[in-house]
Amino acid sequence: MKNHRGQRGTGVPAELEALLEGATPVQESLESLRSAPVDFDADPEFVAGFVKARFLEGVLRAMEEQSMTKSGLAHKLGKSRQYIGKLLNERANFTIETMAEIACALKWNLDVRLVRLDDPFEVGTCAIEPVRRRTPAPRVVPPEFSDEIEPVTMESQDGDDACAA
Amino acid sequence: MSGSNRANVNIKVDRPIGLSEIPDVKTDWQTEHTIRALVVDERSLALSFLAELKSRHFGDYRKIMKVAKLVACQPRVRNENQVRPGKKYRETYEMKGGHARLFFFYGPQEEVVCTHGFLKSKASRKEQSLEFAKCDTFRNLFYEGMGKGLSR
Repeated sequence: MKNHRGQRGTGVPAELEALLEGATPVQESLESLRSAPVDFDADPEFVAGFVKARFLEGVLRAMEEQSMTKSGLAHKLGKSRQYIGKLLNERANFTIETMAEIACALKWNLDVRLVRLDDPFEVGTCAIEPVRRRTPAPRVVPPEFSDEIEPVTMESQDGDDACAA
Repeated sequence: MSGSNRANVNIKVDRPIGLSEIPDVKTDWQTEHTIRALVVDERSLALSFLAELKSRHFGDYRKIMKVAKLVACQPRVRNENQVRPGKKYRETYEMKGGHARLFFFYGPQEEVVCTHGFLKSKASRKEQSLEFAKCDTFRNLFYEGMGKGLSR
């Protein structure tokens, strides 16, 4: 129902009203989209494009966090600024070696993995992440128990069939 | 429309603003944001646009889906070659895929709400600015609807 300003009760402005009137009803659009479902994850061109885009997102994030300009990255890589521009515009074809050079220049990790499609924790298979320096976790023994706790050794488990293999 | 058909659209008869899933956007992709199409009175410009894009310009449709996947799995997309925020309407964004543009805004519950799209035929800044304005109008409508209990 339209009000005196030519709007629906929902407050749809008149200029959008005409657009909506011309749109296909939702159900028809959904049926059309579902009529030929596409599994994009099985399309190499799509997968390659996505992996590239995700890698570049990582590069941009690293540059942002380090306040690094395109010129700065170009200088670190020993390449021209134009090359970096081309790279970030996805107009350059780059190899894993190039990706590794960029990751090392940014002091980030490059992670290229093949994962199962149904792995709920993995989206895409290539990412650039900050390097996490791992230090061994210190062994903490509460002082009141320190005399009672002995390190577990293979000798202490003699006769245990479960460990025999 | 039958009750079973309506199950895919999160709106009720008395709630004219809602959100719908987008069929080719997989659930697995949506680790950071859920990608949805805005539905107003059982019509969605975004779904209508995507259905036409898929049938007539599949290459651009594939590119838009790639960007949709990127948007779905990233907190925010930095690459303006993929996603560009509006200059005047900073809360609105466009996904870029070839000549296709799909406009969206971030909703309050990690959802990405796609409002509409268009095929860019020439570099017209005025035209693009108008599309961002449309997206912003839909955004206001969405939040207004939420406030009045018209959506969700």
